[in-house]
Amino acid sequence: MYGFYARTASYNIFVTDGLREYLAAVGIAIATIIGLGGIMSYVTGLKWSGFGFALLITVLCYQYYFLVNAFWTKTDIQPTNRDINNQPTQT
Amino acid sequence: MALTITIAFSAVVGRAGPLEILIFVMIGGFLYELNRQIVAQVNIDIGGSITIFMFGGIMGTITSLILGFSAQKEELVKRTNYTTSRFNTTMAFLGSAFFWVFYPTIFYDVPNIAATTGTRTAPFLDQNGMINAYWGISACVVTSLAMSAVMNGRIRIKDLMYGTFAGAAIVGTSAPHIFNPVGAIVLGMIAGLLQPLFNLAEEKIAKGRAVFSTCAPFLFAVQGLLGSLATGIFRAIFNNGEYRFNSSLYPYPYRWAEAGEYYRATFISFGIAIGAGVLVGLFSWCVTAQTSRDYFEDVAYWIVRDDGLRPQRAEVKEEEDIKGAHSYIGAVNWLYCCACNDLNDLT
Repeated sequence: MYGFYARTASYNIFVTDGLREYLAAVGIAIATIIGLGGIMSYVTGLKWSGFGFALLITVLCYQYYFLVNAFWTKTDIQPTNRDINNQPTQT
Repeated sequence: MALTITIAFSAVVGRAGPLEILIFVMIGGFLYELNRQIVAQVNIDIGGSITIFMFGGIMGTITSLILGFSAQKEELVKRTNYTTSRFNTTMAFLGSAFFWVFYPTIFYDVPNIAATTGTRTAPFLDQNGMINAYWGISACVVTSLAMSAVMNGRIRIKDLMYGTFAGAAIVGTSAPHIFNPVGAIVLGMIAGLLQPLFNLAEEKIAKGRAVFSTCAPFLFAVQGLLGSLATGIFRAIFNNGEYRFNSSLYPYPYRWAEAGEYYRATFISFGIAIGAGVLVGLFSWCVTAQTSRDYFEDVAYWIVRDDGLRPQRAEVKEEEDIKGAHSYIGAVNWLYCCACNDLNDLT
């Protein structure tokens, strides 16, 4: 019964910003893969295509997003008050 | 981004495969981030009515329209494989339920987004955003059920299933700006009243035509557009100075400048989405639309029967002939064949 309560960490969990982002990403991944994957499986012959392609899209996007985000951030479309070297701008 | 591209791809699922997915991700994702950062100049769009649902829905719709002009146009018009079954509908319904549970987590990392973009956002976004999303989706599902019963005499499972997504699309961007439960519930009810009508309109438009989408245009695009327009109204009537739930709906003074910013972002996003759809559609049409394939069948892209471990069906029959159904191996193979046949009969 002790094993039921055993944990790998002995300290309390801290809700950091990184954890919040991770939990949000996990929730959206589940909503996308199972939720939208399920609805794409509505057609009889697309049981595997629905879930499989939803998973494929999600995993591709989770990797690709960081590249495009970095690209468009450097173009400074969304004002961040930082220059290209991540130093504060005068404004 | 994953949600957006999946929504866009849902319009062409059954007619597109991994190569089209790569095109969707590379080009669509590139323009998605451009659109998101432009909208972020105005204000943050956390729930995604503008940048996720409307953008994905329009992109998918335009792509499906372009892919309608493919080599197998007649096959698309007939679409004999475009059927459903209770098993598939149940799976889709479970997917809808999962979406209802996990979609509000999109509001969970809000403090990290809000800190970088602006000072004109409402605080406590991670608190009222999630709960407003739940209220909106729930109200939409209930209203869709009622509307479906009124229209058809009985409940259409498709109307109930799409109610979740319609509610999420209409309440997404507005959710952080709503400080009264009535606002979220009313939005959900509007989506629930409209979605069964949109389903009916979509069926009538797609009948006998090669250009159609599975579920993208009315479900995501129009509901997302309505949600983005509603956000402007909420921004105009609710004062961000009172950061609490209240029962007062007194709107004066209206803040139309803030509403106008949201409408500007909405229509910029609309244009970028059309451009993204045209680009993705043209790329997909040039690369893959002219090849012949089985539409709306898994066998076009997946090895359905053989996973490399189980014996082939021909081998199983020979095994039965030699050893008979009384042996252990023969019995297991016989049971496997029966199970496969039963599953085939169900579908």
